[in-house]
Amino acid sequence: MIDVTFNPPPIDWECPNCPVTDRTPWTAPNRFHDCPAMGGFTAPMIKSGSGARLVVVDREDYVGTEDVQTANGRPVMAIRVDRPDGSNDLVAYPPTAHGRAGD
Amino acid sequence: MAWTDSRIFREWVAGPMMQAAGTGYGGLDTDTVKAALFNNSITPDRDAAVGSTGFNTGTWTTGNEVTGASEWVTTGRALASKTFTTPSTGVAMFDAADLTGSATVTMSGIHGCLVYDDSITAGTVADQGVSFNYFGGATGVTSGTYSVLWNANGIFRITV
Repeated sequence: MIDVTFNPPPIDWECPNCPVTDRTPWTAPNRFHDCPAMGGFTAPMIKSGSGARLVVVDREDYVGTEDVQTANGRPVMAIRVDRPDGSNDLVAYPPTAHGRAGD
Repeated sequence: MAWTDSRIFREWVAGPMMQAAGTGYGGLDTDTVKAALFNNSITPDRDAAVGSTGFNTGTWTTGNEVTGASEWVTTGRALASKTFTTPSTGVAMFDAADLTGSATVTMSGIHGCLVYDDSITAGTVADQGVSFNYFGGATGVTSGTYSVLWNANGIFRITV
């Protein structure tokens, strides 16, 4: 008799804001895409049928001279993936640190 | 004073970037460079004395570091696929692969990260800081993955 091991099925991903979908091996912990509904911003996707939702968290502090990441002109601090069971994922989008040499 | 912005450490520029002897510094390309998460109890200062710019020195102590049970453990995560480019006139840029999360963790009160050189052991300060990047407020995660996606403009840029 031969032992056969079956892996779990692949994961289907979708974006609640645009038509983009994807399929990954069952081991993929997350999936990102450049969302056309967010002006090309790199956003997480949710597992199809999970009931999860994306929450865009705008920057909470003064932008000033910070080189922030923006989606449709809004400074995005993070995107949170909220799941029905109360758990979530968090993607942080740090600004670029700048230095200047010379005049 | 807490977080206000994102900066490159002055002592990084005056130090390893220009004079690496005796530090163990081999270049950001070959050294282990890490990003560690911090709360809002710190007071980031780009002009801090060199001895206060390293991981677990000055304001960057492990007491102010935010960690998880796995993946985002103390000392942070190593950067991979580091790149050094000149994307536009007068600009030099340092970037790396995004730190996508894969482990389930619960963390809160994360306001930013310290990017430091884990291969520097002496001469200046061990684990000398390169830059600090302010996320813009408090972030956290509950039984999920925590990812840091760098700006398309890089982790830091220097304009000459």
